Amino acid sequence: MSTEGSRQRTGFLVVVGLVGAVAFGAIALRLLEKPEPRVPSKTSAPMASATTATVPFATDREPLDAETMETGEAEALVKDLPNRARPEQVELINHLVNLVEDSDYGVLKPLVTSQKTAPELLDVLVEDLMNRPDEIKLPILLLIARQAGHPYGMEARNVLEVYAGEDFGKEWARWEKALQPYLAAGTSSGEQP
Amino acid sequence: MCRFLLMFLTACLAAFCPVARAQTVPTLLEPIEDVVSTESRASVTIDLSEVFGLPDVQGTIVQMTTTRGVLNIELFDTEVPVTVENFLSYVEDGDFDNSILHRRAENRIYGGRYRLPLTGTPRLPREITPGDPIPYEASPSNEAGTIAMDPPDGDINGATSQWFFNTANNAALDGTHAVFGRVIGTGTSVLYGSSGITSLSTTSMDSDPDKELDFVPVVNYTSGNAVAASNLVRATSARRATIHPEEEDGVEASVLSYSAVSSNPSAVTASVDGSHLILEFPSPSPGSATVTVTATDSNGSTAKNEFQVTVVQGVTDNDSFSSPTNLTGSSATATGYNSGGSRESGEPNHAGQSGGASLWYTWTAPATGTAVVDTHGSDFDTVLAVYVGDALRSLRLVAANDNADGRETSKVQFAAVNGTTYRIAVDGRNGETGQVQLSIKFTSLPEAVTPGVYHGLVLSDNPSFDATGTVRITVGGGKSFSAQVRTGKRTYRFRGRFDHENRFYKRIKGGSNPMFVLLTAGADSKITGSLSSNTLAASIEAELSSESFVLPEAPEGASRLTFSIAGAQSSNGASPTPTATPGSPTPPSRRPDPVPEGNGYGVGTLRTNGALHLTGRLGDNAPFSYSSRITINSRVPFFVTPHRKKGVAAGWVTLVSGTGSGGSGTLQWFKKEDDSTDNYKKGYQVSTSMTLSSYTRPAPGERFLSTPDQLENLTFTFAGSNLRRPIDPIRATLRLDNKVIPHGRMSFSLNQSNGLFKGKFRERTAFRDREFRGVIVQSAQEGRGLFEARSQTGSVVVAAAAAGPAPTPTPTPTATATPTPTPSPTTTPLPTPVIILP
Repeated sequence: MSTEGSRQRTGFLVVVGLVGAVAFGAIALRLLEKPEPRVPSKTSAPMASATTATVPFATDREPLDAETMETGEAEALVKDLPNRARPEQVELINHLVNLVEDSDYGVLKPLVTSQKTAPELLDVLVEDLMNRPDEIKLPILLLIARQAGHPYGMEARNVLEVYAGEDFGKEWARWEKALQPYLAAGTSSGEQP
Repeated sequence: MCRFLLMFLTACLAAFCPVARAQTVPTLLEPIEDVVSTESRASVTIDLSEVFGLPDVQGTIVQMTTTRGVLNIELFDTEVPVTVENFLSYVEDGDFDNSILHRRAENRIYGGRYRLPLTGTPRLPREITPGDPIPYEASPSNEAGTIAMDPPDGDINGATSQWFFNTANNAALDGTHAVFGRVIGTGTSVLYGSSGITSLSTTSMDSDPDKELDFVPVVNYTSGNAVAASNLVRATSARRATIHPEEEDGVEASVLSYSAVSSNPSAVTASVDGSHLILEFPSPSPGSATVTVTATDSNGSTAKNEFQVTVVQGVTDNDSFSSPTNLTGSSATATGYNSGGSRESGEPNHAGQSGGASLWYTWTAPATGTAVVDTHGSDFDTVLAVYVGDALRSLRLVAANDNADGRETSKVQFAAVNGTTYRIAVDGRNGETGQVQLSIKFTSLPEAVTPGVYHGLVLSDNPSFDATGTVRITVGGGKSFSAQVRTGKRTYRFRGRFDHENRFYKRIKGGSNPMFVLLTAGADSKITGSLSSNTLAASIEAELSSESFVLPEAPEGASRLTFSIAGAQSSNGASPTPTATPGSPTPPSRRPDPVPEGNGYGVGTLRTNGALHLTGRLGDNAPFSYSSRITINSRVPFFVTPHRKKGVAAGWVTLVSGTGSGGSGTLQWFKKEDDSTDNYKKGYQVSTSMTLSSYTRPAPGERFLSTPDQLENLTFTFAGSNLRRPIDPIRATLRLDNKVIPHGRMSFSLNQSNGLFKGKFRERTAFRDREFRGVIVQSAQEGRGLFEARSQTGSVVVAAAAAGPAPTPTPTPTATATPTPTPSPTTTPLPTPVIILP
């Protein structure tokens, strides 16, 4: 074997070794980390530095080789969310809301409308939702407002009242009608002409 | 032939030109430069063979010492190699030692045939045993000062050991007597001249003509006496010689010898060893001396060189480990001398090399980063080592080096830890000493990027839709991050990784024009940077989010807020200042286009985790919602893009934590020309203010606004917009149960749970009702809002008022189509229904 070939072989073995070590570490981490129960907590804990400093961004394990996030990647990460420890979930959600395009918001919709979503995650999701275009934001806020116990029911009602100009209480049909002018495609989203 | 011509010319020049003659006498070739040294240096050695020389002498030299003086003979090795080899064979055999110059006749002095025995009586000359005869070689001419073979008469190829010096030009001998050398320097004076052998008398020692002892030069001889050995001119020795002493192994004789003298031996001593000058510095004190070096040839000719030696002060007080020189800062230098330096007990070999003259330094890292320690500039072969530890025997090596960068000096680079004191040893390899030049260069590492979520704004000195926006950056563990940059024009979403300098610079996707983003994470938990293209340049400033923000009342984990954004006609704080509409030239001198005069208003919540959610309407009645996190500096970046992204309002709002008073900030607010919108189709650009207030639902028996006179008087003031006629302020009574009884054509209802209110008033000449909406801003004890009229908005302000006539509305000073209102003290009060929402 040539010197170059030997060098390549050595490099390959090193890479294999590293990959193996990382894989073993990841598996060990999964085994050691018992996912926390998804019980809403009264104390929200956004990205505590003490935890995030030791929990790498999920895409550190799944290298950041793309600037944006494809639909499939977002779906996979959301699907994998329950398997992660809570601090890692918070961090991942904070990345997802940055990277998920408006056109892919359906990936996040189940999380933001569910009352079972952990408060730490819901905080981030609602913050993001409020800044999304009207045609995405308002229907989802209406869904939230219709849920009696949703933690963000008050914020949803505030937005709906400002947009509708009235507080229609539980007359949901009137809410929907009042919001119609803002739900037409392109009302507030899309690119500037 | 060339050699012959050269000799001819040399002979001519020698006769008439002293300079030419000097080429075979001691000559200064390269003067010694002045020397600056330290007393710490043991010595300085200079090779004198590079300083002096005999420039015209190229051949082998035989030094013949005679009783009349020394003859240095340069042999013509190249021209007559066989003859030279023959001559040298006799020299090396010692055949010419104690030989006699046995005949002086016909402008020649003969030798090489007889020698005197060292012992015996009488000591009669005996013939040197001849070797094989050598053939004649064509040679240079028989000129004065040359030496030539003397073959037997009639046999030019029969020469053996006998030769002669030409004491004059004997060109007649050319072709038969091979010249094989010349006497160099001033040696010819031994042969001829006033005291030369030619000046001696001669005598005959034998009648045999074959022995040629009939013209023997004698000294102090009395005619008639027997010729004694002391009367003869003898060559006591003939040896190969070099120009400089000790130039060649096995050759002891030399033409030149050296001597040196110092003018100040207490500061500098000068001595000569062979061809080397040695300067030494016996005193520890500075001083100087003039050193004179003399080169002298065997005939007494000399050449001199004089130069200055200066000894400067040395520093050796950091020789001890316990008394190092302390260096500080990110860039430090030190100069010292390690003469007198020593090796202490327990001191390690630095860089694995034996030293013995170490100096010690200490340096404390001012931060965590990379340190480079270098001895470049030192004038000796250094070794360098960096340690940590407080005792010689317990040092831990950090870095060490012998030679670096192709030099004999040393350099190390190591990761320095903030606050750590490093001990630096500089030594000389194998104990070398000299001047030490030590430098330290330190570069601190950027602090790690603090993980968390950063919120901020994109702003430009020239506000535009694509240069105004907000940024949200999530930094994970390590340096990877994701980000969204939302501008008035589009949203950029990307992810990346900060480099070793905590910078990120990249072209980002999302637009048709190349857009570049630069982000730099600072140690102050801020991320700054820019968003730029070939047409725009906006700055980015983001701050780490706070994890908690406390308001006095947050029974549900969130405090209620209300806010207002000042309109042009408002009485609350700064009014909007119209500026040029984005993308539009400055309007000519005509009535300027209107700007929104309504008060923007809205409600929100502030959660204990620092999440701020706002929703409301801008002063032009465009609805929005917005959410962000309060930063660690208690600020919130505010950015909304209503009007189908044809309007933008952006600015930092500062909140006051813990007092419940809310916050305030200045906004850039602009909208571009758009016929599809209901209001302000020509667009506008203003600067305005935003006021936030905590909101608490009035308790039972508590009014939503305080009425100082306890007479329950409120005033509703309407201003601005495009009303046909201005509306006079409307009085109302605020009852203790928070019911409002208007004293004019007006209705009013308040949602006490969040502070939003709405109502209607009658536009007098239009005979129609106009809606108004707003919110109670408790920190200002006002209700603020807006109403619409004919594609423009006006402001409504609800405030407590003293008893008496209604106040006069403030005339509208800005460019609106509304004529100056005529004050009207009263209108016919028309009681209207009052709705108080629970």
